[in-house]
Amino acid sequence: MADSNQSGCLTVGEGVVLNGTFVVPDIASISGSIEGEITARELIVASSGVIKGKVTADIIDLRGEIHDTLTAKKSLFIRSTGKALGSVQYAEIEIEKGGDLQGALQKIDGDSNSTPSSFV
Amino acid sequence: MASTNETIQPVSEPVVTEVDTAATEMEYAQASNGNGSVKPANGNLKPSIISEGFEFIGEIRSSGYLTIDGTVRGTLALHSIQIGVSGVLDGNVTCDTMNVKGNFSGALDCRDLTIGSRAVVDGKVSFKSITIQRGGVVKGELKKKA
Repeated sequence: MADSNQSGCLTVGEGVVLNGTFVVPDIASISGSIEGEITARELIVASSGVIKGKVTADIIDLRGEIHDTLTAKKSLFIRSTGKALGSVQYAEIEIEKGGDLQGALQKIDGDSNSTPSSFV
Repeated sequence: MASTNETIQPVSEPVVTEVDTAATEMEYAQASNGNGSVKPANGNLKPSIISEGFEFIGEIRSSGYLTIDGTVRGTLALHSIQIGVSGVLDGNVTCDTMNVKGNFSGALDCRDLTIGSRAVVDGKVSFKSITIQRGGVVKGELKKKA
């Protein structure tokens, strides 16, 4: 997904370890490991990806792990291999069977563009 | 009712613990007879239903299946619970399988939890496996059991 439009994107390959604060205007795809703070429009964490720290994004697609603080302003999608631990805020959430979600959950008001009509 | 022999219980010994077979129906009528723990679902048990408009306050125990389309407040120990779209469950719940399409609040301890797209779950939840469909709302504290 990130390959088609590289501008504003961050790709962290498997085995890469990053520390620090990252602001990504568009898509961040993480297969490696990040410690610190990351803000993105869309965050894709592959099954080998691990993020420890504060994570903020509109859309989060999680196949790997996120620890600590996680805010998904629009949607949070935890796949079967995904793991979210800590304080989790979301506007909309979906978990596949096998996905792991632990900690304090809070629903925030988000952009309701992508919410299904049945959502009251 | 058809009374064909289903060859389930050998009739040779008088079975005292047969209460379980009728447990669901009984407890549906009279909150709790306070006997025993929740066992895995027994194929003999018919599902119990708290239908829409029905409000129940108290304690329910069964090794069977309960569908809640009405309102239930209290303590529940069951094998399987389904909260329908119009269902409201508020209280302390222990079960194996929980499927929420309506509203749940309180404390929940279960193995397999499914939260539907129009469901609202609020409270302290511990589970072994969780599925949330898009649109489902979960608030509170989640804990995964080992």
